Amino acid sequence: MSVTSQTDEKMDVLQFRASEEYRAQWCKQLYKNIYIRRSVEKTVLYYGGNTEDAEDVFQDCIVALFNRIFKDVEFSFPENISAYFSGMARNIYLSKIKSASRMSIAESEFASTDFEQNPVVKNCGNFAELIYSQSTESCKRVLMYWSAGYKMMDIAKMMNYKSDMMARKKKHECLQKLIRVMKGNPAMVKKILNDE
Amino acid sequence: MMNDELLRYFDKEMSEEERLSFESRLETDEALRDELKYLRAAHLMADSFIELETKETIQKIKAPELQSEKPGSFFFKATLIIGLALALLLTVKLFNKDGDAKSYENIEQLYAAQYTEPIWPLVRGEQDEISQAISLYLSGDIETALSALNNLNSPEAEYWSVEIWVHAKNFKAALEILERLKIEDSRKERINLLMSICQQAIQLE
Repeated sequence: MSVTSQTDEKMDVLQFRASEEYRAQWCKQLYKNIYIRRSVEKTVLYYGGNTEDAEDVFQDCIVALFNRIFKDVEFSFPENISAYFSGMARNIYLSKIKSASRMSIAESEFASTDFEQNPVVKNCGNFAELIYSQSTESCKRVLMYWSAGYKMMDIAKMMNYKSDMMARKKKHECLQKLIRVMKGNPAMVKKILNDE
Repeated sequence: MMNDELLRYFDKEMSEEERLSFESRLETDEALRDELKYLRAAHLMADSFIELETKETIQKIKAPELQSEKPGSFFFKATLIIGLALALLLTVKLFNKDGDAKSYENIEQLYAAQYTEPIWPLVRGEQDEISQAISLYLSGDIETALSALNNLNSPEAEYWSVEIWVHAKNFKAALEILERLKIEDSRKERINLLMSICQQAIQLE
């Protein structure tokens, strides 16, 4: 993948979903892109934020975009990525100040909630990170695909399994392990489900 | 063993007839409802993985930048080395039977296998407030030490409160702080270790 200063390059969405390495390359490309960063910064500063807020929002934008590409099969990579980031930055920043009650009711009506943080990350972030960091790579992948609603046939293809039966078996095995961990932490489960 | 029917229900793989019959069972079977609850939580957990992966990637991209900002910092290097050493020591795997709390008969065994005492930030001469609080703890006054750290109201002070609670084996108190603690990258491994110990210890209690 060549890295250009403007992201006029097209993302291969299927490869994005199939490969963590490809996602990491894109993450780096977007994160280092000065044009996108500036468009986010400009937006956040316009709405009264500072450069620190802009950095946070910029990272949230990347997370939100990656979530969307990974989970929404209908999603196609935006033509004008800087404009897309600027729009996302506006929504994310306004949502942030809305939740921090730093905005009037009239203004808050413009704050879209298109960036909904996962309740697990929001309520039990450290616990989620612990589970994530201690899961095997194959379990992470199969569970990510399962939770995003991928078909077993597609999961098998992306994970280079010979059949969807193998993918199903792997999903079952990893899910069982994950549920065992969950059962060992009922207080966390309560916190996770409370926000649903 | 996970209930296959439950998974098929959750994944919407049942026929309409099967689904209705399963739902009527759910109404009367509390254990089955409980299993469904854990399955929903597991689904949400798995759903967070892409977000966690992206955040981790961003941190990795940022790490060299942060490192170059403070290349000469002794504390930074020391923390990094300790972090790496702890990462090697961290043999706890939730997905591995060795890390299962059930492998240990009591907290003492768990401690011996997994816990390593931190390098307490004690400085000679003029002491900062955190060092002073830790000195108090190490001399036996846990109450004043924790109260002093609490008054500082900073992530650094909260981190050292966790170290004290874990050292004093009050895992619930430690876990409570750990859940809200903002973690620095250099401390990620240490925090993961402490959190893992607390969770296993609570199961053993």
